[in-house]
Amino acid sequence: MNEASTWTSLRALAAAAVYGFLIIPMLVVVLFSFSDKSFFTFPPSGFSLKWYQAAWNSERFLGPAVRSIVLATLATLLTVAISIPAALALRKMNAGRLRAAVEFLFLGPLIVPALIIGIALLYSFSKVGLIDTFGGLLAAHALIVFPFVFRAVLTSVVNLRQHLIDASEILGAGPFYTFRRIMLPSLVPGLAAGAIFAFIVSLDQFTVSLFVTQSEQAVLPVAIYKYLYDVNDPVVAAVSTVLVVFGFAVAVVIDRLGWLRHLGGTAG
Amino acid sequence: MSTATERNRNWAIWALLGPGLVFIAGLLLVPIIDMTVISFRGESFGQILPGFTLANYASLVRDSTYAQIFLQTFAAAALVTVLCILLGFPVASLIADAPARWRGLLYFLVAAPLLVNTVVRTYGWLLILGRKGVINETLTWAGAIDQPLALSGNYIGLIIGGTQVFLPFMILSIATSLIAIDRCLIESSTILGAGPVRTFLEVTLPLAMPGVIAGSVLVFSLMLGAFVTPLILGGTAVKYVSVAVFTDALVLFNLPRATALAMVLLLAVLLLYALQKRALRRFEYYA
Amino acid sequence: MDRIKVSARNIVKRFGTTLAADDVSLDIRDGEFLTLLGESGCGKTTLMRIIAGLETVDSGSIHIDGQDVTALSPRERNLGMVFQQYSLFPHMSVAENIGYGLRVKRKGEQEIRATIDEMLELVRLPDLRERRPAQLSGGQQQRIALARALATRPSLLMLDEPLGALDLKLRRQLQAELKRIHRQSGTTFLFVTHDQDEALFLSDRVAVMRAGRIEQLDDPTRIYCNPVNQFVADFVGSVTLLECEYDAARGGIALEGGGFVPMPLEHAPRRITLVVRPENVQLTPAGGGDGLACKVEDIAYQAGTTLYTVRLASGAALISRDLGAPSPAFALGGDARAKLSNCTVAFPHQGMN
Repeated sequence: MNEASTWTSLRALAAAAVYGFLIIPMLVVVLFSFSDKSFFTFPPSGFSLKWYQAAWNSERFLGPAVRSIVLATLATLLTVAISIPAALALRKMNAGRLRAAVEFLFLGPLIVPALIIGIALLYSFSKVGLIDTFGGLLAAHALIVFPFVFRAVLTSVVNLRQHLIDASEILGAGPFYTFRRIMLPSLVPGLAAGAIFAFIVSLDQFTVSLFVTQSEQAVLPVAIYKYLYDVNDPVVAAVSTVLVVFGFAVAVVIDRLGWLRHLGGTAG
Repeated sequence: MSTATERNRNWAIWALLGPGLVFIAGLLLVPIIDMTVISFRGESFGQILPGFTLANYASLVRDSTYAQIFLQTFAAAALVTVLCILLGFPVASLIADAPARWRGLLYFLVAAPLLVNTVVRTYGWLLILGRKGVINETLTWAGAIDQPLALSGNYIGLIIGGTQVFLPFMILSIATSLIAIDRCLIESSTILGAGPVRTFLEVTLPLAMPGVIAGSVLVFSLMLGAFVTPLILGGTAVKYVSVAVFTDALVLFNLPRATALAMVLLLAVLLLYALQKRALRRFEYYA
Repeated sequence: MDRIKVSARNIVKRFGTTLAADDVSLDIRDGEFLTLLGESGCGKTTLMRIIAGLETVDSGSIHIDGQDVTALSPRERNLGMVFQQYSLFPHMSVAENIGYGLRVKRKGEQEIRATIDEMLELVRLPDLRERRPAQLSGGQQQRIALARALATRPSLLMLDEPLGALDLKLRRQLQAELKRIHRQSGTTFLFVTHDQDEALFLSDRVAVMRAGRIEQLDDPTRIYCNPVNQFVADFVGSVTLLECEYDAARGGIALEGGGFVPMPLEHAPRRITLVVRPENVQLTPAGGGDGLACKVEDIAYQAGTTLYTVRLASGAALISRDLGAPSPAFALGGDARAKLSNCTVAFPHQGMN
């Protein structure tokens, strides 16, 4: 038993170190946001909330923040609207090559690196004048976010119990009624998880946003990046901390809904 | 089922698929096809010329800077993947063996960082690795160094940052495989006389391979296509494919060459996924 | 006197507030087939896992071949184990699986190969050497698991409900195989099951367990015919226990509500418990003759046998088993007479064997 417990202790130690490695960068940012000096010092000095105040008042952040939230909301709604019929269609299809191909296609934005999507859209959008427009940005975000919603909705749809739907039809209900009354309620948890996923992925999305926008349509991550290279004071740390807290809060919600495991197969 | 119902069903399927297909086709397929076409076009002062040319691809092969870029990118991706396996395995093993009460929390701490913006996660490393960052300040204060170490704006910072960003994917992938291993197999090995090391090497590790492979492919391809981390932590010292694409496209306005680079990257990623399918087939024990 | 191969003494084990082993002691004789029989939660699997070293004890000791192994880890005890889920290593071939324990012990190539062949012969599957577990049927996997466990010549082979995952027919075949393999290998077997037919069929001795204690440890015949209490009697087959008085003068048993069963016994105390199994009860039509007066409450037909449930005047219910289809002589709700023959008697035992 002794040899086993030595290994167990070693493993616990190694795992703790790795966990530290994962969390520490965010911790440092959070600490920095409360510093009372405008440049980074270690060990941290003082405590102040003035940077949060500054961030809230700063037009460099407030505008992009609002835009990011609106964008995330609209992108989520749009993809939910497209995902539901798509998932329902897949459910009706017979298993086989065609169905696998369609599924693969819909999950495409996950496999193709964000960089590739960025540059492909850069060219296509510039042809039709969608660069640096809200519409273009919305379309790009909807594309990125789509696989997350689709996957969640598909899982829920596949788990729908056919005999409930059959019962509804036998009782005389038409397809829309059955959908609204019988199917939709079962889909809500998966939909909610997918929507929340989509929201945060859109909010976090940097690469594609950088490619399809210039100066007009700044989103929050891009604003943070630009700020980092102009100034480097705790204001950006404050904004970042808000995003960290928000990210963890969303993770808690998704965890409660039981969907946290599904994060494993996502692209950054 | 009569043909009428069959036809109705088919019509319904295509009607439902319609919006999704148009959406994906219009925003993903068409742009990628366009991009492929562009990569074969010439360029002059920011304008794309009509006609077909292989010049862009040729320059990728001839120009030694591109060879360096590819080398450094692939090397970085490989290094990060290996580090993720080494660092990720203990955590995945811990999660797999943890009692149900703790597993949720352990999972959470790994998965939650994925929901935080990559820019923010990488920014933290700037603060830690910078010239006046946490590490340098601590080492100077302890008297271990005279000059601050260059840990950021170079390869080292890139590898550290990249590992941290993609580590959760590896952990989750390996953990899934480990959890699927039947406890009785481990107990059988122990009763047959094997110690912890032997049991790990002969039973646990082979059965965890699907997770290691899937995780490796995921991390490798994510790191290949990584943009934020090389941009922020790489600095000018590091040559990375994604940054070169960005520079070519939005700084030098040489879209054709940028897309040629991007095509190479896309092909590499697709090749990886194809290889993964083949590699995983070897490990289908439970079939 | 048989040599004691494995001895468990005063084992106490708690899981939280549950007492899984309540001061249990057990001696397993060299070469015997001993079964721990009980329902889920009775502690049989816990006891086996404690003997294996997979669980620690709160108090008590385990001796194997006279040596105290309580402090030893499972790998140091030289035991063998077969699980319900077979637990063959899916990424290794059959031969590699069987040879695993031998490779751990660093045996020579020649010896390993010879032992693998020997084991495959023993379980009668010589052609499956290079197959993978996924290519084998359930029954084959279980036999290979047996081969793997026996390859290291363990002091004790433990089997934890190994036939539970198989369907009925296959289970019967494998039970016969198990018996043969036990005889041929001469290894001591410790078997865990909740299936009483299986336990009685396979074992030299059976330990009936409940709530962390051994209720009775005996050979199958005595478990069936001389159950030590209501629980054991009920557990194995259907039974009615009748409390009665032994009349030494008349050489028989006086039943409540009248009736007399001639049964000369030596050393019988006055109050004894009669163990009445369905095969001990024969129904004859009502009116005249010996036998106890009763009313027919239920008639059930089960593939070649009819079970009659009758109620005696005293209120006790008896089940009578008769070969063949239901007899027209007995009607539901009607009267009949129940004759008892070859019943056995339950005596309290003096400790365990």
